[in-house]
Amino acid sequence: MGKTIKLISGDGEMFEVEEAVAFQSNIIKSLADEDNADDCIPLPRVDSQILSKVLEFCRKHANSPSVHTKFAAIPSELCPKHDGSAAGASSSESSSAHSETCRACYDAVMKLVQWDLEFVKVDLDLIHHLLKAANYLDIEDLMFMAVEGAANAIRGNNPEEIRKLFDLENDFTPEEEKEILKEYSWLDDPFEP
Amino acid sequence: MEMARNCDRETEEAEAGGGGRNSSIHGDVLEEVVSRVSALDLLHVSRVSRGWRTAAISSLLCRRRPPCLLLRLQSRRRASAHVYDPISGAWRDVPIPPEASLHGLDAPRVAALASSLSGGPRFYALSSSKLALAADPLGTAWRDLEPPRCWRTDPTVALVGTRLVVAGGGCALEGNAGSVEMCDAYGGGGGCWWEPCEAMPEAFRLSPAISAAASERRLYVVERQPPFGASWFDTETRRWGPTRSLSVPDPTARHVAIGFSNGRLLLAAAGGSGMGWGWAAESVRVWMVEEETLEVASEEVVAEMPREMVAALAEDGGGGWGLPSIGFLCESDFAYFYNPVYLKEFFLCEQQAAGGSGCRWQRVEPPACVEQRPIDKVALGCCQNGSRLYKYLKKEDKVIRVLSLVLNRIELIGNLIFGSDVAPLVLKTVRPSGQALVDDWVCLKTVVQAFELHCGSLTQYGMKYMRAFVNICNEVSRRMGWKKLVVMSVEATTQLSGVPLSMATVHDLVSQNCTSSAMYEYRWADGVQIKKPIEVSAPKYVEYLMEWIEVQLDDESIFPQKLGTPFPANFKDVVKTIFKRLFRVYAHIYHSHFQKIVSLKEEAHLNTCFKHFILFTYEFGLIDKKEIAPLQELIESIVL
Repeated sequence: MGKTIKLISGDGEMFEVEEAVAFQSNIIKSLADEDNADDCIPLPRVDSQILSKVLEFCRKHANSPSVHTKFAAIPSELCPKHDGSAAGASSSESSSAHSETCRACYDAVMKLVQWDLEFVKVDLDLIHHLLKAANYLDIEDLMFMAVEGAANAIRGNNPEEIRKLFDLENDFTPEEEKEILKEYSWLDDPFEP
Repeated sequence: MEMARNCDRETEEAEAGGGGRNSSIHGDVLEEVVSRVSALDLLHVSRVSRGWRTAAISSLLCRRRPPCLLLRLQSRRRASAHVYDPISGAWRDVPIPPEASLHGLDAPRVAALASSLSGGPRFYALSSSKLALAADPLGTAWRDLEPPRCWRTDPTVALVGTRLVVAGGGCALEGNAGSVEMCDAYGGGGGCWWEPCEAMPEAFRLSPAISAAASERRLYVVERQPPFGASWFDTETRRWGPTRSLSVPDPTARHVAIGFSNGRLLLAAAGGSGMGWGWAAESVRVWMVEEETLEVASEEVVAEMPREMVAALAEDGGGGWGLPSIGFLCESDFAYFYNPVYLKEFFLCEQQAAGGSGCRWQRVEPPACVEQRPIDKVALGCCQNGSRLYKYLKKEDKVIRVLSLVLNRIELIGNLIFGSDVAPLVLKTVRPSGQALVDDWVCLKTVVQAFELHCGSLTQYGMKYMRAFVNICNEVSRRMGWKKLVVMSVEATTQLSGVPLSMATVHDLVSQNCTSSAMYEYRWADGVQIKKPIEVSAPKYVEYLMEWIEVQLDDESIFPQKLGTPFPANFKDVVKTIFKRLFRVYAHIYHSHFQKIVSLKEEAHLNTCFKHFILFTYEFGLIDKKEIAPLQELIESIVL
């Protein structure tokens, strides 16, 4: 296979992954570009448990980087159906156009999105760690999905529940609370002129 | 080095974060999270805690706002108007005054018009004897105009720039088929004079269903059914451009509609499978169309509707007609799609602006009243949430207005210092990590203090704009002598933005205590509603002035709300007029109410305000010497 990169988590465990997987992290990519003679990149701030989750995500996304930030951009040379016969498919515009018209690519992207949505259906603690890790390692797609996971926790909950979930304090004074409630009183009174 | 940099970033974030075990969700990340939730959830988010409230509000402000959907129902007995606000996800009923409801036996027909004015009318009313344009986007008030000379039913009506174009429609007289008339709907003088123009091309004269879109200068028309004949009408030359069949990239397309937004002409096409009556819609896609030649840019699909939504769009309750035509309303980067005959749901599409392609889609329920009405009585439009609609969407926008005032003041400062072309860049610059964030902490503290002193407390909402302040300080200390300029421009915002607030107190003061009104005459004219100066009492003058200034500040063409929008060429003249009138109020207070002010122990405050006011006007030459004469001695004594 291709070249592999060795990563060492904060608690000393070593992970060996392919370049395409590891280089989704811009930080790892720039670190590896430097003269690291032993190809071993330490990541002190990421635990092995989190790192394995992150790498699981990256492995799944190895063939389709930036699916979320550039929607449906599978380079056509990696299309499961075609074998790179599409001409001039290096720019992202033609990639997205290819993905829009190529049924196989479209299905692959949709499957990936479904997988991602399942991936972030985990408890909030793990989401927080993923957010931190995605921020630290600068992985765009993981950041996107972790944010989605956090947003999932917010949807459909009232403020008290949100506070419990995210372990936040209500730092409004009672007067401020009243003011805020007044601002949204129109919700209850739709015919107020 | 990189690792050290990462450590710095981590500690910076950890320090900046607050509360809870999860300090990773704060600041920009929190805003990202918050911007994903729907509007109703956003209300809950803003009640969680202060930090979350900040994030909710600034995400509302900084993300692009989708346009509101306007719906107007006309029946014989009554009319109603509804507005859908996508941010809060709710429909609101808008009360229509009885004279504006336009119902009744010989009521004119109210329909939507294509318009290029962003805050302008979306509806018009036409009958054989009457033509009226909605005075506001929803039609709670109407402006009557002369009806066009040739009576027709169901014409294509559009507001192209300020000109109203009426084209085609069913005419009783053969010779008038396809006639086009144009008038200046906003010209002075009240009436509007209809000019006949070159008639519509042959293809459109048999008045098939037509979809129209308006840019600043042209009216574009396209047949909704194959062969999709298309043409444009130029209001400057009053001629039609080339007519051609649009080559829709989807060969199965049966229905199209066009719209104009963001300077682009868009074509929405519904394609499907099956022949004849068996045709069923399977895809809805949007392409760009080149304006001059009407070439469809087929390589790039601007938006594609997800399949489940297309199925819902074609849902017809078993009638078997499927999707008889496609409704398409677009504004900036958003578009609403709907089935005009079976109005079951709307679909809102948002185009990703941040470098990626692809769109986000959302379903919108119609208001309850729509189910019971026959569909041909419904008129639909969409409108960016300009200040005109604020009064319908009230309270939650008050918060946003407050925040946008803060943003506006900062932009004003930036513009005054750096010039409006460079300012947006300066305000939004982010220094690469590794450089010091702030060059001169003293300068920053002084600026923030000065801002808070004159423009009101920053509050937790305004802290968001700390980066803008930092950038201002850094740039200014780099470029020029900063003290004088910064203080002056901060005062500019005091004068201009804080005026309505302070004037409110002045107004109360004057109206309660003004007994000298009989002795002095004040004449008020604002050039719009009151052209000839009328004599008013002092309190009335102040009241008119307050309202007028508020209108100016709300007017986005003078005081732009959006980052990067340039100020108009006559900006200085507008500001000069405002200041000239404000000066008169100061003069009145000093002449007539100074004793009262002293008794309230407010003279120091008044003197300080006035001193800043005068310094600022001197600095930028805003008031002529002869206007200042009444208070010349006072000025010389206060101003050193």
